[in-house]
Amino acid sequence: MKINNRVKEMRARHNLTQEKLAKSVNVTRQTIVALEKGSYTPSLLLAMQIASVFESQVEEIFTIEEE
Amino acid sequence: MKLFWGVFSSVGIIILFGWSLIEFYQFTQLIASQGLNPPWSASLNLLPFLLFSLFSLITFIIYKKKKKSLLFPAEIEENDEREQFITSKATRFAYISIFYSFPFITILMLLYPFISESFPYYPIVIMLLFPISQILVYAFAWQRAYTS
Repeated sequence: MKINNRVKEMRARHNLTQEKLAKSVNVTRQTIVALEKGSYTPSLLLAMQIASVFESQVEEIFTIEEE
Repeated sequence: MKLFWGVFSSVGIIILFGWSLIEFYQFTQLIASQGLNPPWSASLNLLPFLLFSLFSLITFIIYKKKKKSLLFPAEIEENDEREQFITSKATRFAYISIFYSFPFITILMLLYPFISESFPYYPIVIMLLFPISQILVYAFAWQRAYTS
């Protein structure tokens, strides 16, 4: 099972740079890069923080891709 | 390479520490060869010890600038949850590598009888290969996970 995310799309919609998003959720920019690439699965806490920045629900941003 | 400074300073300190130990070992060997009763005469090369102290001081200043804890090795990077995850993965690799490096490095001690006269401090070098191999495995695993 893989987790897909819409972070890049949401970030563009909210006019946020990777650096700004990283700062607002207290992670490094590289973590946002890895997240958008799909090479890193965030913790529940980070996922909820990101959802809060975008004023959305976690499941609107992160979805499970069934095999 | 994000870990370059950390790996360079840790390996550098170990090498300079080893070099200092070798000089102290040769010094104590000279004293021991003169028996238990004074007077003794021996000379000690303090250059490696001075370099070790200087290198440690520079590392300490960089630690302070980077606001890192002195309790952790310089190559430990845990600025956020992903780096903590990568660090735990790399630490696991370094731990597993003990089971491969330990017998290999220990076998190198079999060479000691052949070179003990010309290279009496060989066991010190062998001992220092352990932490250096761990650091290199850790750094390789960390970098690979970080860039993947």
